[in-house]
Amino acid sequence: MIYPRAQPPSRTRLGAGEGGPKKTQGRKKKPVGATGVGGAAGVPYPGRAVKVEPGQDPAAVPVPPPHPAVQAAPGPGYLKPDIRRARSPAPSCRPRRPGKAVRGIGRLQACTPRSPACTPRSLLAPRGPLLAPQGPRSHPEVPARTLRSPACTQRSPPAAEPEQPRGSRWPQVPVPGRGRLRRGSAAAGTAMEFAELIKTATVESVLLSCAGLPAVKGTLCITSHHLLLSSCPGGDSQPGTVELWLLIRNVDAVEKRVQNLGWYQPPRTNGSPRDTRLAGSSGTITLRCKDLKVLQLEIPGMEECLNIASSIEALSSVDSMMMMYPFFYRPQSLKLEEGWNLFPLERYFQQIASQTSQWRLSDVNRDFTTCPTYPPAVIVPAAVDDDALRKAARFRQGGRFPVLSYYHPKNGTVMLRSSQPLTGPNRKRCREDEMLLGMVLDEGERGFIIDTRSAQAAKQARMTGGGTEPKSSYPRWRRLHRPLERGRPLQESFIKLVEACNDTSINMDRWLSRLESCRWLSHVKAALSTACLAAQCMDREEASVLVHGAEGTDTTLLVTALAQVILDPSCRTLVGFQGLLEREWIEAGHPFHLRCARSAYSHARLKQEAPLFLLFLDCVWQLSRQFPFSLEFGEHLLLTLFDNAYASDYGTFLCNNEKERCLCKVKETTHSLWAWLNQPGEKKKYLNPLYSHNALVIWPSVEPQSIQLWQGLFFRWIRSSQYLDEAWAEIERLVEGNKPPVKESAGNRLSRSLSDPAARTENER
Amino acid sequence: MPGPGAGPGGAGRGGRCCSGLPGFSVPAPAAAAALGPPGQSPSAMSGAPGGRRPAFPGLPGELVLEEAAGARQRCREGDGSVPGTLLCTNRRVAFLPAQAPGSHAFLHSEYDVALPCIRKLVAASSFTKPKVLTAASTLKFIPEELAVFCRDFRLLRFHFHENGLALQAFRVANAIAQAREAAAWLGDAGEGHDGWSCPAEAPLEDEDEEEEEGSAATLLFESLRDWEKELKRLGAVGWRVSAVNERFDMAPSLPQYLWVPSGLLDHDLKRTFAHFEERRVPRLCWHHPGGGDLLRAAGFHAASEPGSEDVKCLEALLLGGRGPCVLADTAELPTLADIQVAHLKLRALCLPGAAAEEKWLSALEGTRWLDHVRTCLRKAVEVALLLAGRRCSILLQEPSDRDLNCLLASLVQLLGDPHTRTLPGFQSLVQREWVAAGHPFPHRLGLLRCDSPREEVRTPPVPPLPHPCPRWVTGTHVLPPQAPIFLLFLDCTWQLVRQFPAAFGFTEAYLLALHDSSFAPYFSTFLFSCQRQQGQGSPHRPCSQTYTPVNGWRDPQPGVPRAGRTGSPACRLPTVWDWGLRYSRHQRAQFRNPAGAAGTVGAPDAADPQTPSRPTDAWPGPGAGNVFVLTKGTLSPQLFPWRSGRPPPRLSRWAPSLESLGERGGSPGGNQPPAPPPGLLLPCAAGPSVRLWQRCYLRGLPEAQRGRFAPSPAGLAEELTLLQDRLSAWQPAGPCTKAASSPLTPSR
Repeated sequence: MIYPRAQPPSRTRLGAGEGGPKKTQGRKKKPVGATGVGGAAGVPYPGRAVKVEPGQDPAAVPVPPPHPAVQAAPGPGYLKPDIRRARSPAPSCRPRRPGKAVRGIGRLQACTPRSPACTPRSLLAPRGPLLAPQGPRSHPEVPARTLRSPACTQRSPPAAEPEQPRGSRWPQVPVPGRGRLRRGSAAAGTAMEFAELIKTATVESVLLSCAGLPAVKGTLCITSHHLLLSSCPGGDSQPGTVELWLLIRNVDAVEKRVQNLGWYQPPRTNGSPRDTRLAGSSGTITLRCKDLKVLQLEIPGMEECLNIASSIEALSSVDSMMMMYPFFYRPQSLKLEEGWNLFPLERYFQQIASQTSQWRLSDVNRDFTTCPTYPPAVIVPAAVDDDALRKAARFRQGGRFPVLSYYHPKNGTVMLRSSQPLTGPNRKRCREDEMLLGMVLDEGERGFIIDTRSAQAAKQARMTGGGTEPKSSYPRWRRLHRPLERGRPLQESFIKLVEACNDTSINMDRWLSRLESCRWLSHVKAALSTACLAAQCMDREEASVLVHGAEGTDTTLLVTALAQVILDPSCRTLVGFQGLLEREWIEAGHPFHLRCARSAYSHARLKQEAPLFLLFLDCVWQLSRQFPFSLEFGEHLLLTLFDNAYASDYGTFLCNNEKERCLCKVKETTHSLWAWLNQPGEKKKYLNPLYSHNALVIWPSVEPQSIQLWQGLFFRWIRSSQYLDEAWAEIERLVEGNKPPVKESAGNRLSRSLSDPAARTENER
Repeated sequence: MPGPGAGPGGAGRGGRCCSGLPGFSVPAPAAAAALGPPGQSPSAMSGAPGGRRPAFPGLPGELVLEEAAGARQRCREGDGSVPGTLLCTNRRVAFLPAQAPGSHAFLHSEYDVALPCIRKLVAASSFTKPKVLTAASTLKFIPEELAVFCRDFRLLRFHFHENGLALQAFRVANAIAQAREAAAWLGDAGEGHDGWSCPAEAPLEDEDEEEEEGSAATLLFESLRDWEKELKRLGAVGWRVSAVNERFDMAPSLPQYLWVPSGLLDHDLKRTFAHFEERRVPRLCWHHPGGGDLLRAAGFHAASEPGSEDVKCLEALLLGGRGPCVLADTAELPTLADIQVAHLKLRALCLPGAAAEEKWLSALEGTRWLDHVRTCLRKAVEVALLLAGRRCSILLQEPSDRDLNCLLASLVQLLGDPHTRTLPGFQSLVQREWVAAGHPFPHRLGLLRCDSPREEVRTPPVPPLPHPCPRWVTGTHVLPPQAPIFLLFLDCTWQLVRQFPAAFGFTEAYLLALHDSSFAPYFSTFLFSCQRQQGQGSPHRPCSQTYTPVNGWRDPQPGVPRAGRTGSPACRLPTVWDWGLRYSRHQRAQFRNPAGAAGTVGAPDAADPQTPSRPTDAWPGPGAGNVFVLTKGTLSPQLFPWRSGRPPPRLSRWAPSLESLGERGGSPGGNQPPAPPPGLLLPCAAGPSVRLWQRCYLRGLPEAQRGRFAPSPAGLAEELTLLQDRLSAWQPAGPCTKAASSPLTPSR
């Protein structure tokens, strides 16, 4: 497997606004001569196989300005008839000299539709104007519609066809984790020529195989956002069952492998279109998804295979925010505005205000001018006015001045977060910033600054204008350095771990040392210990804490959020945890769009990807394992959050900060994940049957022996968890059956607080 | 073993010598007679204050040497501690929690440790550095804390924080160090095992009538009836119970009764003994409902040259018209020395501060313990698959047939037979494949060796690791190597329990109890090397070490009349299955897996698994009479050693496609593995699936303990019932009991 990741990391500033539709992904140039013959990817392939590196698809080049006249968002409704009618286009001619093998990769790429001329089916296949600039015959549309309504197919780009609610819901789609769908109106005025990116819309007799499941054969169909595979077991008259329903955004890497037995690629001199397809040729596409699933599609027909692969690649790397699926997704059971205002900061502030008057809610950032990555409202010391805040913001990177993150009701201490101060080489100071931090502490109190960089890194940051709070200017704050990895090393650790987990064939005897060398567990341990330190400062030392790293959007949030899970029992409920995520990750400006753009399989050059949110989820999982009774939600929720952070139907994790979300009207035009999760039927899946309220602080063990690999995530698609699931179901049944009569319903479990021995055996520290 | 009735009223009774607890009801003279030699009575007898402590329900003949009231035992995790009295007797170090004396429920087994089980004794004080105590090096300072490192991975920590305890603490610490030295495990020739014995007639049948189903249903395989009953359960047509070894004259280390083919007369059977090491002939272990048979035997005797009659008998025994015979030897499994080394390394690693934090995983890998676990599992899967898929007989063959064969035979049955996954079924399994089959527990667990408890404190320390096969010469015979095969088996079982939480009727807690009990010298189960020895009641006389088949099948000690003794002396000691002796009802309730529906994953075994699994699989050669050897998952033809010539070449190697099943999952493109036959567990033996048994091995690392409470759904279910019990116990009691000082206090 060749990872074109050799370039140094781009030193782009984190936290820069990334709202607009981005241009092309940073594609690497194709490694000429990097022939993947035989496939280093593991499975030995019979016959000579040529692997094509993904990422060379020219279709990914500049996204055209949205075509006003084109709809997107094909819902599932149209699909059923199409699958039956769709035929893969017949080859128009035969290769002339069959039997010769393709030499190298360059040849193969030549036959990917780099130029329209090389594809023989320009008449048949719908093609976008970009790819076929000559194309009066091409029409930018979803191919499915082409087939469905011939009236609007040829010749002209179809007029902006209003969404016909095709009437039918997709019949009982057995799609895990998704409710029934209805095709809603693609109300977003935005649209784009998704169709341009789809070179082959449907292929029949595609064999789908996935680890641990029987392989199925069916018709593959690409829509603007989904990859569908539907099998028709009973012939034409019966509706097929959809075996695969994959959000294309979920695809992390596409690996093509074309079997060259029996087909021949003639030398192309003038780019004259030739059919290279023979009856026996086929190709295999391996889709590696962001949720770590790996799928294989065996596609008859080499050209179809390549077309499908490049279509998927192109569609999965569409980076324009408004093109994301959440803007088109309209489930029937939810209302658009639902779930978006579940956790207003105002309510959180009111809880604090009921206990102390030292804090106020400031709307200094209401138009995002003070700090582009903060939400409009922040909680700040009551004694500091907005002007001072603005000045303090100028002293912090990205304007992230210290704001309240958590108020510990037990002793009134607080946790603040910010970004690094812009001390710089000249040791600049800022009175307002010093005053702001000074106001936090009462007379005689001392506080701790937890810097998530090493002391040396913090010092080095001064050269680039950053730095840390000098003792002289902040005499009552004591600095503690706890270096946490982030950015590229973290992503690489993630990649290595996933690689190791997928390596089933060899080296299992060296599994443990390999696991150790991935260092992922060390990161988990470090994150947990730092969060424990912050929690300890507050709960034990009764001192307030300021957490920051450099930008204050990554490790900072990791620490503050984790510390709250440890300290605050209300964050360990299902709803409270959602609120925590909303407050400490989403609104606090963790750049989800940048960090979760690619997952562990991607061959693309690393940019700003880093699995910090995954690290957080892993830490929470460790907590849930160490305190099985204290978290109201189970592993399933954490898995769902991971999936949705990387690719989602919902708008919750879209964009990088609140400002971008406002610009994109995320809250108005997409559904909230929370609304979906909190539906009664759905919610039940995420609850921990063993939960009982634990009002105490849960101090995790951070010994290396206690940190375990999250097999439920990293082995989710590799090893069947059937037996564990059965046992869980049994536990659930036991809990249901054994519920003592005194026990209240799940709703008011809170009242049982201290009388429960579970809480006590879990914490006697 | 405090009985429920043992109230505080008995405090200080008799000063030093404890009377037996009520449940034991020992006739005092008998106890005195059976017991300790006078020399055992402690010199330090005077002195220690009578103290106010709950009655110490000692074992018969147990003498309290020293005690320190007001000591505190640290709880297993966290900073809590339980006040109580620390006692040192001539048998053990015990701790009596002070509060709630009536509720003995609390963990007798957690509070005491038999003296020979102590591996290291460390005294610490804030003024000096910690000191390892031995009999030779006495304490020179007042200890504030005493840490007892046990051979079963436990760590007990007592601390004496109150003023005025100085003297007692000092004395108790020294007394423990001395007593440990004095208490050779079983080696004291004069004492024999009787000193440890609990009278059998009153095995503390307290309140648990309904619960004792477990031990009642456990077959001990000491009587003919048990063997017949089990054979009937297996439905093994064509097999019978042979009493040929009833007097242990055919093979001293074999059980009295053997399962042999019905077609083979005892007369013919006798011909075969000489041709196997230690005369351990092939005999049935398990009969698969589909028709396959699992046999075990020792290696073919190197020097034997069977005559034609003998060959006929041998082949009738091995083949018997039942189809092909597959020899599965233990060559791929780790050797005894490997296992011992791995275990020692593991134990060293699980001490505080043994591994650098960043290197924990690779250090763990370096012990190779998990590797051995994995190898055993994999081999067992191979055999189980073969057995389930085809009608054949598989002969497990180990040179001695007393170690890894026990492990393999029981693992295969765990995988294939749902009955053995119930609690009584498992106990019967251990009883048959380990105890009756003659696994030399005392040697393998190192219970015999007087000096073994001191292995760490020798100066200069003899490096125990490099010796592949350490042998200590004591007296005239060479002690066989030490290797915790049984603990390895328990670990393998734990892996199964973890991977199939709903398939087992017992829990991790049960395995843990069994693990710890194998070091406790109060039970007959692990004290003897074979049934014959148990009958004789002399654990330290190896009965079969030097046996050679020179005399044919004649008993080497024909003169010893044993007919009247069989059975009677053995039952003087309780078996380990009497869990009520050491474990409270509460704890025993945790042995049962509420989520394991009595061990039925898949369909019960009654259905013939041959038809659904792979009926079309054909043998590479013509049916009966073939002999194959199973190595590395493939079968290759083989000849019995008494057959000359080369194996028929036409039989090419045949691989039973174990990989896809054994390592489920596989590569993403891999095909769906065929579903395992019903009732068959196929554990995954790949690296990430084999885990460290943290709850057992990491007990000595209190800092790492927090996370061990929920390692598995089975563990969770166990905790759940525990909590629900407590909850229901709380409801009537009301919240006033909340004042209990320690969270570990039982709620009643």
